[in-house]
Amino acid sequence: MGKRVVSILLILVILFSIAGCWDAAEINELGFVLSVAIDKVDDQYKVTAQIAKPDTYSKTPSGGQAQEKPFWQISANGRSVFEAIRNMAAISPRRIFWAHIKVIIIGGTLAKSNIHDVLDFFTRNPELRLRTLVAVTPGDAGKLLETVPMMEKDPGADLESVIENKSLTGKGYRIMLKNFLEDYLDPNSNPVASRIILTKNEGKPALKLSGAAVFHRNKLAGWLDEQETKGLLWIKKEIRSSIVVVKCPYDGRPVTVEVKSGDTSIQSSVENGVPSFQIKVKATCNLVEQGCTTDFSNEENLRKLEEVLASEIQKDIQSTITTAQDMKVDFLGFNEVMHRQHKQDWLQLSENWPEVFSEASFKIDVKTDIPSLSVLARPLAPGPKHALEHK
Amino acid sequence: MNNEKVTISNKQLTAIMVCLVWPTTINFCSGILTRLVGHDMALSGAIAVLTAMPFVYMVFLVGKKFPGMTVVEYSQVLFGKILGKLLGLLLFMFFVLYAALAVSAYIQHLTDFLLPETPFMVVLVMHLVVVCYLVWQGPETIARIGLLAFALTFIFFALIGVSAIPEFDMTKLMPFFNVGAVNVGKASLRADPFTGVTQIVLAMILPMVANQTKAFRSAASGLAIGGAYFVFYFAVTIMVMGPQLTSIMRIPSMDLVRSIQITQYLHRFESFMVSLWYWSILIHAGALAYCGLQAFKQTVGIKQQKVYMILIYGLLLGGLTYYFGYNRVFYLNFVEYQWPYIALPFQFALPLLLLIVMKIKS
Repeated sequence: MGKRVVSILLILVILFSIAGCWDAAEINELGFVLSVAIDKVDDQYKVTAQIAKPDTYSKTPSGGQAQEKPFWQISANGRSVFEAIRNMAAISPRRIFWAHIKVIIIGGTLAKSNIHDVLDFFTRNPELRLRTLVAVTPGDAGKLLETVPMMEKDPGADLESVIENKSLTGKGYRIMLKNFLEDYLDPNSNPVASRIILTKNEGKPALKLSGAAVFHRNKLAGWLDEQETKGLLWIKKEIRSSIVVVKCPYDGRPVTVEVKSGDTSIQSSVENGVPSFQIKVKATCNLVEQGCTTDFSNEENLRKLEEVLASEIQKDIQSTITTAQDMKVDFLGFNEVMHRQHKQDWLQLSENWPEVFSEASFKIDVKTDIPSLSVLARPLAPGPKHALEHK
Repeated sequence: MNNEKVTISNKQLTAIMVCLVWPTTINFCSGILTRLVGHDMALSGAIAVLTAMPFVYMVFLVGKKFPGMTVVEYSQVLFGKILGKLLGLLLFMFFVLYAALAVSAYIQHLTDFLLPETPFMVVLVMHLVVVCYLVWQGPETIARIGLLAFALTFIFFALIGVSAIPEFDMTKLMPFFNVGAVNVGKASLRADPFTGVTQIVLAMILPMVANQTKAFRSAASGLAIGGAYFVFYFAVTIMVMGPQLTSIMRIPSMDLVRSIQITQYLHRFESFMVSLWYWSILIHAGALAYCGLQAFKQTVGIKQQKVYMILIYGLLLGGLTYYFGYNRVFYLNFVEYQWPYIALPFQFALPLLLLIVMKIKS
């Protein structure tokens, strides 16, 4: 009898305590944030959130009707990021739900002042994923979120796709919050974020991934242009699937190759306290477009093209290294290479790494291989005369 | 429940040992070690597993000399009645505190990550009721659920492996022994309280093991499997998150799950992973709580088990859990800095002392 009473009591205790009332979150009471933009306005943080409008997701747009924006934009200011976010609750009819953010965009002014608070907030909040992408825009970040995507209903997914597609162009950078934080916390590393700009596509505003933003400690140290970003991608082994346009070694017209695989190895050495690095790049590419009529099925011609390609890649890498050395900011990870390969020397070098890095010497050796001309065996040339040119 | 009548199979012993080693280790130990030795923390963890192994053997050797007796019972033979009873009381306090720390770990996971609005007390009562029920049911039930928990660990670690592979960066683990082999070895002392749980629990449950001759092999296998699990988890944590980020986290295991995804479509699987992990932490807390109550009963000579005992014991366990677990800063500081001084003497010095005294007396 006693056991039965105890069992019933236990069942009741468990039953009432697992009802889950405290954390009940009904989907129709939540406002799902897709992307968030953070700016600095005077001494305050301005947080802009793009919240999904559920009804627009369920409607199929019919022709001729003015399409409703699929999101609702909300902004609030505060002395801290958290306060600004809480201030949003005064405007939003729904509880703002941050768990599904895809991209965090930081405004240029804030990036130049101090991003520590922003990083702290997003790291500390267990609702957020550490896979969220981090991007910086030179202007007002909030303005970027006004852009209505052309293809996607979800602007967060649209922005995420723009960043994820960096590998196709090789002109932009992609980083997740966890990797950004790791570089931020490392005293000798410097994080790099995507650079997003507002551009026009057929007269309508559109978002473009262009270059990268380099941070030193908690401040923006500078921007990388598209060429420098390509060099960064080569060094970081993230270049796969992007394209390189080179001049035909015979008539200077454009020839486009797609990088199928790229491998970069870095060897370091230290002599009299000065480090030097040998960067070896091995790239395998396919010829995907040819403006000239040179017959690259001729192996001699192909070797020439490979040489031109190698020199182009070398130029990209060199321009990035020069920028990093000029900035005295090692955002390329050479500090990690030195640490791994010369543990004893690193203890001394790390004391003044920015200076030491700016004096380091680099040797870049690029080997390219073009094993395929896509489906063609001979160049697309109108007549036998052109087809045999340079044979 | 009377432990003389109870037997657990050797497979169940292995399962219990696995569940004792990995669940809290992946939660707190990874952060603690990374703060000391950075990316070498997996090496410190591996050393801690190897360190615990001979002590498991010591417990087995001593236990073999006193068949059917637990450490509380045979210490009264080895050290005399008064010292033995004193040790029994100390062991009771150690086990109940250890169980409270394990229950706190579970509550902190739930209230900090999955149910942030649910009051601490509610989750505490809920979990405590289940733990007390396990204690009431005794080691057979704990062992049977242990087998289920062990089976679920395969799914847990397979999911971690598969989802983390795209994020693996082996270079983050190098150079090995970056802070020096001595420092990596020293840091393993902070992991020892997590691995050392095996020998001290074995000292309490060894008499129940069906095949005594193979008990060491079963316990050592459990330690090795549980150790391999957490060393793998440590390495994955470093490869995915990096040492800097891991070192600032309170519970890096949860942050690792925040950093990975299963394919492109399943982004948030924290609750699923916690549900798999739950069974192991339940066995961890249940086994420790059971050992605590047994230590008390054997010290004061209580043979029977009554419901009121479980209720009083539950209140004590609940009070300690609230005291240690509610304040997260206090809890982490306690586990990181004070707990090794309490745990290591019981887990490492006691088996050694028992072996020495046994050898002298024989």
